[in-house]
Amino acid sequence: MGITTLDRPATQNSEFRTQNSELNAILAWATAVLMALSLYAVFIYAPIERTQGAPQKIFYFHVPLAWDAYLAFFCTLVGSIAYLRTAKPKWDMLAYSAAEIGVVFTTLVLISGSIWGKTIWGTWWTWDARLTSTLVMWFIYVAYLMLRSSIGRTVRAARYAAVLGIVGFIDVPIVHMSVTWWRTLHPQPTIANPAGPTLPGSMLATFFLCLVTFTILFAWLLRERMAVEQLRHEVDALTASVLESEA
Amino acid sequence: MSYLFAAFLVIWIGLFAYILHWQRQVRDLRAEVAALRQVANQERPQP
Repeated sequence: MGITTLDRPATQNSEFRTQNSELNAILAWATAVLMALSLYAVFIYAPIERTQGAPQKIFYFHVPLAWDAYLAFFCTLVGSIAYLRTAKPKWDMLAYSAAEIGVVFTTLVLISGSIWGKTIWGTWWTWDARLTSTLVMWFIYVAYLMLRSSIGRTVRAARYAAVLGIVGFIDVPIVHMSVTWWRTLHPQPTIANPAGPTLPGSMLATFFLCLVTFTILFAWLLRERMAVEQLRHEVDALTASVLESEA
Repeated sequence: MSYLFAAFLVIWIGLFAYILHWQRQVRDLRAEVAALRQVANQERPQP
């Protein structure tokens, strides 16, 4: 059985889309302006770190990308739990959209981290606890996306994916705590440190600007991606109604 | 410095490629919705 029931009546869809696109435009503009400010702060305002030099500036995008990935997978967890409880398609749309964005961000975290690692450790990859657990997290959510695409847009696929979206989240706190639980090459937390941030003021300000920018970017991407899912459901509903009238 | 630019380049290319990918999907889906609505209207019995 396909998920063909739209979450809201078809007559409200155009009104919903107008409100949706207005907010999305605001988020897109906010992202663009903040991204320009972030680039200025990273390359001009923030000082060059003494031991690592210029490559340390990868940190300003690498960590917010990882934060966005955590946020995305948390949205997948929330969407999955809510879908299993209510069976409302909007929660499944949230879980699916967030998982896809999370995979994109995790891919960028792994690549940017690998480039940073090459400059600091002299190697592109090492089987360190943080790197390995992040790779496992990437595989879990790639499996989630593969499950969705292999079974199709069915209630069964949504249920199986919801279970994977809940179980898969177990790896997220493991990734975060890996640098504390195991001896790793990856640096200890410099911001979420129990003793407080260890960065100087200008670096901290640049970091928080980038964090806000990437959080707004995530919100925009999530809303846009959910609009794609909404359109897919609309196509399914219209196809079903056309086939019904032909029969 | 080249590693720094390589990292930023990868991040930007990745993000733009993803945004372009779903924008193309939105365009195709909107066209599909419009076509299906047209078919649905044509098949509806005229009063």
